[in-house]
Amino acid sequence: MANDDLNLRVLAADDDPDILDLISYRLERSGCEVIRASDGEQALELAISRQPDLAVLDVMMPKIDGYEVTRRLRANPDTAGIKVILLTASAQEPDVVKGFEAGADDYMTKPFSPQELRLRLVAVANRR
Amino acid sequence: MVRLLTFSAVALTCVNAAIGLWLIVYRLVGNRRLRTLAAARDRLKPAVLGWIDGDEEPPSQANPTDYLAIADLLASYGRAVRGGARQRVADLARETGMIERMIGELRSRRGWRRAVAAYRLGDLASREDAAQPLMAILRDRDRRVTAASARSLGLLGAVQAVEPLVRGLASGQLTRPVGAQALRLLGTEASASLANLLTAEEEEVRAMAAELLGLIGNVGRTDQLIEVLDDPSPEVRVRATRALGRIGDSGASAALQVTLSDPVPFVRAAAATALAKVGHSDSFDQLIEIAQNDVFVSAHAAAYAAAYLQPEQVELLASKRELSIHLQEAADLLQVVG
Repeated sequence: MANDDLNLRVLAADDDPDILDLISYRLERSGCEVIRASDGEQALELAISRQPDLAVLDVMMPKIDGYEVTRRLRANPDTAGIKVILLTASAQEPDVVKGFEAGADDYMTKPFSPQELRLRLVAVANRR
Repeated sequence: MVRLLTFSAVALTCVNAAIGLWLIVYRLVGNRRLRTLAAARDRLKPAVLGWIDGDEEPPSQANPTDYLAIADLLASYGRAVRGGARQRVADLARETGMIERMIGELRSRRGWRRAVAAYRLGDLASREDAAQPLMAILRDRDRRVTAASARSLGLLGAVQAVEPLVRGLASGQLTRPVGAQALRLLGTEASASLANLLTAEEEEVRAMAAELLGLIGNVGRTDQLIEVLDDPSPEVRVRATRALGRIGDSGASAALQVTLSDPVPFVRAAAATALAKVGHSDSFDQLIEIAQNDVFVSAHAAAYAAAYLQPEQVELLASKRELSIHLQEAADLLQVVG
């Protein structure tokens, strides 16, 4: 699988440590620095303090869900520029729409492909 | 007598002490095993992640604990990934003999062992390796086993399991949430097999197949559901009608309008609701007729359908003439909703 040098700082937030393992492993191999968060509140704090280039957020997280984290990131001028990919178990149209309305740049469903995540991450990061 | 009682008391105390000691040792050994397994998991995690990510070197197994740790890691990651990564999980599980071992466990005399094996096969195995053995236990006497098997078949995308799953649901062998979730996981891939079951001999199987087609919501199956609207069983007709409403294909409107004249009231009620969902305003007059003159269940559904399709018309009718209680209720509700 591709090991490149993306040189991005990525915030990965999910309450499932196995998902975080898979995301971290793939993205670190692609030259990313991965910051891990296990709930929405921690994700917001880390987004403000560490200023990642991109965030991969689970939708159903404890404390604050992924939609709300995305909204709050967009509402804060310091974090509004962080690109967001939502990761969720639901592929239902209303949930996808809700994600984009919250301000997400892309959307992936679980179970996910780590390789596809890397490709989407590159595509989202290259968007202006 | 006193000596006998004293002897009994001493004996009981000794037995208690022995049991207590055994429990302590058992707990300590158990905790040690868990710690050893957790340590092996941590040690082997990078190698397992590397394998899933495409590394050529599989994780090494020095002892049985390593084997268990790798199985545990593969199951955890296997249920989170799809595509090539999921295939790597299945490949390693097969190469290390895990799949063969779990398939063997499906024949265990203990129900919980069979259930755990069935569950894990869904996380670890490939469809080719596990579908047949899992289908073979869909009629297991233990519901934990059938539930785990159905869930794994759904996760593995085993379309060949559609018929046994539907039959399990129709016979009550599988609970509705378990069976429906498995079929939902199979998604539109299952719809061809479900459509074939619309002509099954058993009424329950036909009815279940119609309902599930509606839940999956594949527009491509509309024509086959329309054919079932002539089924001799009202239960099949009502579920096919509801399925067509749920799918929402306007191509079913004419057939649903004909179903408004079905001899069974609850089929007519389902047709009225389905026509509202499809958005077929042309059936408005017929719905008003049913709402005014039919029996309770169909009149009530028709009134709500008419109010949903043409709210202004229902309000206008309410202001001009005497309506049935159902239409009046619908008109009142429209006023409340605004």
